[in-house]
Formats: sequence, structure tokens, C-alpha cells
Amino acid sequence: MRLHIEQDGRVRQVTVANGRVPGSVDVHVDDTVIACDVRDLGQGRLSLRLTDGSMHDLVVETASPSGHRVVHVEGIRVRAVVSTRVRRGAAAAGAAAGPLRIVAPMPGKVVRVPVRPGDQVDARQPVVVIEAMKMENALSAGRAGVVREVLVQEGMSVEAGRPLVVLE
Amino acid sequence: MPNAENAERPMKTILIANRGEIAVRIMRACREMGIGTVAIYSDVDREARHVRYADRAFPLVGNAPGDTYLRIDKILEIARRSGADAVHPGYGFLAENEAFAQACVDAGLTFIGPTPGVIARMGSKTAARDSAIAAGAPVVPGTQTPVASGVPDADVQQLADAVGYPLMVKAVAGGGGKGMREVRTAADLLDAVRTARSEALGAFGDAAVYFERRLQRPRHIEIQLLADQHGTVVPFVERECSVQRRHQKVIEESPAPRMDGDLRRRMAEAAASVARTVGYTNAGTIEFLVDAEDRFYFLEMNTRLQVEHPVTEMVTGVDLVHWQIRIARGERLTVSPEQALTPRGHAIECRVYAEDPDQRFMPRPGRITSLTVPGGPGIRDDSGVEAGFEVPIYYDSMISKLVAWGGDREEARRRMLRAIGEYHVGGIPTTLPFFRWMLQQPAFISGELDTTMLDAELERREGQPFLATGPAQDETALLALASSAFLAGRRPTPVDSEASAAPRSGWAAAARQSALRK
Repeated sequence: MRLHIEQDGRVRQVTVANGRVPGSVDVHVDDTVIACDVRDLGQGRLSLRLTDGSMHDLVVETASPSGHRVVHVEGIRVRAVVSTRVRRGAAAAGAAAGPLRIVAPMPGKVVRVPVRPGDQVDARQPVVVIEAMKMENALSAGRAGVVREVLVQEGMSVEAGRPLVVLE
Repeated sequence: MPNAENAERPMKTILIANRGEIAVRIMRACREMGIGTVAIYSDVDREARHVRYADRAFPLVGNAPGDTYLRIDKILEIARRSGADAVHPGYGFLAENEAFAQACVDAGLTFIGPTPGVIARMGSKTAARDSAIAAGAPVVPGTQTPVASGVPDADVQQLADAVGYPLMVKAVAGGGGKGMREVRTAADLLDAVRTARSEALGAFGDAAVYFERRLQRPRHIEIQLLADQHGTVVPFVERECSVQRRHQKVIEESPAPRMDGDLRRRMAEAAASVARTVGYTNAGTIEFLVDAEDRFYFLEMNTRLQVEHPVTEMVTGVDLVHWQIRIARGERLTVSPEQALTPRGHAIECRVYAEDPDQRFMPRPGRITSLTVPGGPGIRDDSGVEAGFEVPIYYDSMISKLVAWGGDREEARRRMLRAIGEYHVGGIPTTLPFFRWMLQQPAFISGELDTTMLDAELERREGQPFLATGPAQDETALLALASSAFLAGRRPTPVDSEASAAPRSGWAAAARQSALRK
């Protein structure tokens, strides 16, 4: 199986095949073969044992609806995209390219929209304040840009995933 | 010989007027004491751990706190219907609501907490302050009376100017960091008052605020106490709760690092004195601020069980919830004052929240798809969730309290790090990566804590992730992704059962189909 795995904007090509030992798989990456003794424990949990004996407990989840994979490795959540084809423009897409839609990460109520179309904002500047779980949460763009559109108003209730502000 | 008034009350069934981890914690105590439990629940909590753990459970109908866990009428009706003879309010919700305590008493139920009159007195931050002054405890300089919502801006400004800057604007009915703002200069005052009022009105139904001088880099140190109905008050070894984010405690420990025995005794005595002055009964906590010169100031009293009570239990061996119930039954407090004030080892608690620490601690409710809870020596996990439970959007997002005990602070710290390494929560982000980072900060290791340090450090970090992967972890992640995709293609059952039910991108579906063909 040939796979393209994108992590942090970097795409790597790997080939996976059954290993010589039953239950093991060989992962071919960057001209090397890594033999993995891997056990599926269900619910996305994997036990991985490498040839040097090193042990790794991991969990691979699929985030819905985006289809992103999230790997838990040593308590860190690593986001990745796995596909069997080369993703168009994936590698070339720089972090700052194209418009950015800021979406509600959770359901809540819009309490303030401190920006207007045309405003220049920096990466940490709040663009929408949402009240959820009794706390006010300021959402920022995570990168600098110019506000192109404001899609919500104060007092509106929003569902998770709803676009709030578009930046370019 | 006990007189009629102090005769022990029988207690067969306790209604727990709360949810989540604290409801489970209280029910555990009930079960240990042979007392029956009644749970209450909102619609989304039907499958919650506290509901399934209870002997019996009754619906509140609805979800918003105002329709459910804050509805005194519904809760009392359930108490009547279930035949409960006592009510434990936990913390939050109605725990410090004197009308609820009074309604319980009027309905012939034992309220497991102080009397309604004491709740009312200590619940008003300004009246509490007066009580502390009457008890001879030092207080932080501030406004003498509440600043009600109708006070004109000019007068608000004048009152604040008299206190001096920097100052804190606090909700009179406040708690848990809500309705609280720091004001550094006079120009920022009115904005801060407006925000604090709006938060206070939403959270407590009361927009009154008061002002208090902001001490420079203080420590937050608090004294737990128990008081029975026969006049015995026992203060406990202090808890340090200086690691705070926006005035919310995130890590608590006992004893406080850098605490000397003399200061401990003086603070314990001041706390006990306040409790005696107001005729306090049951469990309560007096919070103090301690400045760089080890001067301490009364901050407020919490007339309930605290979130962080387990650290006290771990270092003293006293079960505070057992004692809450025994005191409410009219028993005499027999905990030795020496045992209560002498810590055995050290305990640290981390509040695990369903929040993404790398997104400004944004609440991230959702379904917990998998869960592995740490164990082993010295570890206690007070949790309200299980795998398969969906953390609701309606309530506080704390899912668990992880507590580590060690022979000394460093052993407890290392044990906590070990336990965090074992802890796995799938499906939603949690604050665990933040704790792993925090516990390794030089200031935390050395115990040089103050309530401003975490916010200052977060400001400096400008949102960079708490834990980043190195090349080794990236490589391991790559192998996991590759082998999981391969195994998923080889077996008929998808690895991610949760996601397969949800709409997936054509992208991932294509990957799967292609894998299946091989």
C-alpha cells in the first residue's frame, strides 16, 4: 500500500507491506525499511514494537468531519492527513496563503465582534468573543491578515463549525 | 449527654444536588458509610457517571443550568419523591445559595453544610470581610460596602481611586474567578466594572461588585477547616493554590512550598477565629493572600467543600466528605488538631479540563472515545467521565482531578508527571499537555509560586504549543499512521468506529477504499 502522509505541511511517501514475521508490517520510507511489530488493540489503539525492542503506545483517531488523523504520541496530539494520492497543492500551501475562515470551535453565543471588514489584525488579536460554558472565549486568527468578511453579529447563537470571520 | 437539639439525626438517603466528579466523589463516601444515594440529572447527563453510579436517579428535564441543577423547586420535589432525608450540594451550582439551604431546612431535610444564615453572611464578600475584621484577621484594603449597579460612574471612579491602583474588581456574589477583573490604571476602571458586572449578573444573578487593592505577586494560600455543631473547630494544614490562570486555580498542593511552622499556626488560628466568630459549622475554607514578607490577608470564605479538598485528604488521612456527613448528623468532631495540622508527605492536584491549552484554553466539549486512567502508588483520579461519554457544552468543562502523593514535594511532582504520561483521553483535547509543561517549569520545581506567574508566562509564550514533537516522535507518529492505515485496509472493521459513522471527506474515503482493494 502506497500512502502520502502530510504532517506540519510536509508530505512524505511511504509504502507499507506485510512483514516477514506474522503480525508485523514493513514501512518503507526515505529509502529505508522499518519493521514494525504492530498490534491493534481496538478503538484506534496501537502497540508498536520496533526491532530495537522499543515500545510505543499510540492512538490514531479520525477527526470528523474533516477526516484529519490525530495521533497521540507520548501525550502529544499530532495532526496529519493520510491519503493514497498526492494532495493537490498540499505541500506547496504555505501557512499564510489564501483566505482563512475562522470557525466556531464549539457551540455558543457571540458576545462581541471587535473587528470590522477591512481591519488589519495580528495573529493574537481577538476577532470574535464567544460565550460557552459560562466563560467568554476570545478567538484569534493565529496569523496576521485583513478582515474580509464578518459573518455573525453580537447575540447570535452559533453551532460548532460555523464560519464567523473570513481573513485574507 | 447530648441535649435534644444536638441529638444525632438518622441519615439513610442523601440526595446529591450536583453532577460530574464531585457527585461521584460524594456518592463514594455515602456508599462507604452505608448511606443510600439519589442522583439528579439533566437530559444530556442521563448516561453520565454520577447518574449510573447512584442507587436511584431522577430527571430534572432540560439542560441549561437554570432549568436543571439550579432549580430548587425541582430538586426539592425529587427529594420528597425519593424519600431522601439529607441533601449534599457539592461545590458550584447551589452549594453557596442560602435560599436553597433554607428551603432544604424548611422541607425537613438535613442540608450538609453550614446554616443558611452563615452562608448568606459569608457569601456577601463585604459582610465576610467585616466578619474577618471582627475576628481580628487582617484584610486587604478595599471598599467597605458593595458598589451596586445603579451607582453613577463618577462615584464608582471615586470609590476606586480611594482604594488605589492596581486594584481588583470583584463580584460581591462571586467565586471561581467569574466576575473578576484586574484594573491597573484609573482609565481602565469603568470598562472592567462593566465586564465584571455583566459576568456576575450572568453567573450569579447579582451585578454588585466591590474593589480591593491588588497585592504585588501574592501567593494564594487557604485553610480548610471542619467545625461541628458543638463548638469544636479544627483547622487543617494549608493548601497552596497560587498556580492560577485568569484567577482560576489550575494546580493545588499541600503543604505550601516554603511554609514555616509559625506562619502555618498563625494562619490556622486566624481561620479558626473567623469560623468561631460567625458560628460556622461543617466544612469550609478560608482563603488568604500572602505577600512577599509573609504577611497574610483574609480574602474570602468558601462555605462548602472545595474542588481541591483531595490534597488535604491525601496529606492528613482525613476523609472530609465522611466528616461533612457525620457533622451534619450531629456527631462530635474527633479529628485531632495535631493530625490535621501536620502534613504527612506532599500532595499535588491537577484539574483536567476538556479544553485545548494550545488554543487559549478554549473549552472543547465532545465525546470521549477512549480513556486510560493512571494508577499505581500514590495516585488518585477523581473523575466524572468514562469512555463513550459526551462532555456536555452546558456546564463546567472539568472532567477529572488527578492527585499525586509523595513522601516529599519532589516525589509528588515526579509521580504526577509519571501519571500524566499514563493518562490518555481520546476524542477531545484536554489540559494534560499543559500540566506536563507546567510541572517542569523551573519556578514550579523550586516552589517559587505567585498568582501572577502563570498568566505572565502565558503572555510571554504568545500561544506557542506546550508540547511540540521532536523528530523521534514525528517518526513514531508516521509509523503509527502508516501501520494503522494498512491494518484498517486488511481488516473489515475500521479502526475508527466513531469516525466511520460520521460524514467523512472524500479524501479519507478514497484512501480507505483504495486500501481495501489491495
